[in-house]
Amino acid sequence: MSSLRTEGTDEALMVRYQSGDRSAFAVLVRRHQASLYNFALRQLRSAPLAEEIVQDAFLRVVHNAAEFKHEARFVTWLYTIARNLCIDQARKRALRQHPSLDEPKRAGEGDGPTLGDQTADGRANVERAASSTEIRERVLAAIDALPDDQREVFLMREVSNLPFKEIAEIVGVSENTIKSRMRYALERLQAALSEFEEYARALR
Amino acid sequence: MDCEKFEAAMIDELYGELDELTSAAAKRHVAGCARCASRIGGLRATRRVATVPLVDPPAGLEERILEAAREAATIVPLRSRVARAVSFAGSWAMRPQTAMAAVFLVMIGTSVLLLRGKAREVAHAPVTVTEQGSPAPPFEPVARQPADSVVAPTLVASAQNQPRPAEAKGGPAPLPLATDTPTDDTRASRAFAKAPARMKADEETLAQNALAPSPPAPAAPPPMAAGAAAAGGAGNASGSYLPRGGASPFDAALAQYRAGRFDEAARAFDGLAPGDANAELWAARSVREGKGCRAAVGRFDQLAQRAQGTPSAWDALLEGALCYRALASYSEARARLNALMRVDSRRERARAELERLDQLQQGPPSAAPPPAAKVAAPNSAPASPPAATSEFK
Repeated sequence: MSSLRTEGTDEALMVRYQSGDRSAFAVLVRRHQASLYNFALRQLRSAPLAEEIVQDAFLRVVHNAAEFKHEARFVTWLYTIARNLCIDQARKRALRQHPSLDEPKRAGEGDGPTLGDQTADGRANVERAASSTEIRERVLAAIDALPDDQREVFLMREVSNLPFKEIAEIVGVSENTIKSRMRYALERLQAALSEFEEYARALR
Repeated sequence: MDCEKFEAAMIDELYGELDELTSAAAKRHVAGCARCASRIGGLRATRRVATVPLVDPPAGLEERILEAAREAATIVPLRSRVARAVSFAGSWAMRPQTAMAAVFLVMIGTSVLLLRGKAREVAHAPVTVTEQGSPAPPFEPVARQPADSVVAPTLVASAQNQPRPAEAKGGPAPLPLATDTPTDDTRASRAFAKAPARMKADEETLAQNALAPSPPAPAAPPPMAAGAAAAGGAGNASGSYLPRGGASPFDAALAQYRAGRFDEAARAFDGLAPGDANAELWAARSVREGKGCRAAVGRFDQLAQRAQGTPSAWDALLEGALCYRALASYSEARARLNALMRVDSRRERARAELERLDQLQQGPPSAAPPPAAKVAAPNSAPASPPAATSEFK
C-alpha cells in the first residue's frame, strides 16, 4: 500500500485525471475505497448498501471531475458526496413500508450473534473474561447506538482518519461543534463499554 | 492551564491536534489534576477498546467501480480542451484517407452482414436477448453466432426462439416453473427490492437449472439437435459441463470454479458482461467458496435486489439465506427464506431450509454452532467455508 503514496497527492492525481489519465483515477479508488466502504458500512449497517454508496460516490467523482478545483481537498469532496448519499439512503429507509434487505438497527446484527444470543441464561458476562468477539460485538452495537450526528463524526475520525477541520467542512458546522460531538460520542461509548474499560486499562 | 481550558483542549490532545506548547501545558495539568487525568484516561481507554473493526470491501468492488467509470464517461477535460479536441477530431476525420477507410469498412461490413444473414437462416431464429451473457461453442460449426450477440441461456430456448418455448417444457425437472405467474414471484422479491422488474421466467429458469451444481439436467431434447446453431449457454447441448471446442468466457470461468481456483473464478465471472445475473450469481458462489460466507453475503444480497423477480434473484436469496444461517444470523436467514416461500418454484426448498433453521435455533446450546469462530475473523476465510459450503452440496 505504501507504493500508492509515491503516486502523488490526491489533488495531483485529480489534475492528472482531469487531463485524461485514467490510471490516476484508479489510484484514487484504490486509496480510498476501503475506508469509504467501512464508513458507509458502519453508518448504514448494510453491506450491499455500503457497496452501492462507494460505487455511486466514485461515479459522481467521475461525472464531476472537470469541476474539481485542486486547491480543494479531494477527500473532503469524496466524503461530502458519500455522506449525502448515506443521508439519502437513511431517509429512504425510514420511508419504506416493508422489511428490507438492510440490516435492522439492532445491535451487532449482521456481524454475527449479539451478546444476548450468546449467554444462555441472560446474565451479564461479568464473570467471564471478555473474549475479543464479545468486545467487538459490543463495540459495534455501541457505535450503532450513537446518535447520527455523533456517529458520523466518530466514524470519519476513527475509520477514515479525517482531521476535525475537514470533518467540519464536510458536515458544514464549526470545528468546535465537531469536537464536542466527538467528545459526546466517546463519552457515550465509554458508558456503554465501561465493563471493558478495565480490560483496556489493563492492556496498557 | 485550568480544568476549564483543559476540557476545551481535551479532544485535540487526545487526537494529537494540539500544538506543542498547548499540548505540554495540557500534560502538565493532567499530571497535577486527578479529575482531568481520570477524564482523559477514560476517553483514551475507550478509544482503545472502541477500535472499529475494519472489514475488507467486497471482492471485485474496485473492478466494478473502474468498469462503471469507464462506461459512464470518457473524462471530460476542461472546456477549452474539449473545443480544441472536437475541432481537431473533426478535421482529422475529414482527411481523404479516413474517408476512404470508412467507405472500405462499410463495404466489408455489408458483405459480412450478407454472409451472416445466411448463417442466421440456418439457425432459424434471430437472437434472443436474455440475461445470460456468453455464447456457447457452436452446436454446428457453420452456424456460429457472432460473439458479441447476447444469446439465450440454453440451446433449447434459443433454438426454438419462442417466447414460451413449448418444446422446452418437455425438458428437465422445472416443468412447474414454466407456470409461475410473474406477479407472485416479483412480489416475493419486491420485499427486498426497490422497483418491479420484468420476468424472464422460462428461459432463465432453464438456464439456472442447467447450470446448477446438481447433476446435469438432460437439457438436450431432440428438437435442439435440429435447430442447432446458434446458441447455447454454458451448459451445452449434451448436458455435460465440459466446454466444447472453443470455450466461452463463461465456460472458462466455470472451469476455474470447478478446479477450485475460486479467486480467479470470481474475477472471471465479475469480468463478464455487467448486468449478467447468472455470472453475478456464480461470482458470488466463487467468493463464498474462496473466502467464505461473510464475504459472500453482500454479493447475494445485491444480486437479489438487482435481479428481482428472476430466478437468479431467487437463487441469490436462497444461497444468501443459507450463508446467513451459517453465520448464525438467523433472523436475516429467516427473512429471506420467508420471502422465498412466496415463490412457487422455491417453496419446498425454502420450507425445508426453514425447518433446518428452526432446529438450529432451538437446539441445545452445546449443539449450536460456535458463532465466535465464524465471526471473529472476517479476513480469515478458512474458518467459515468448510461449515458453510456443506449446506450447498
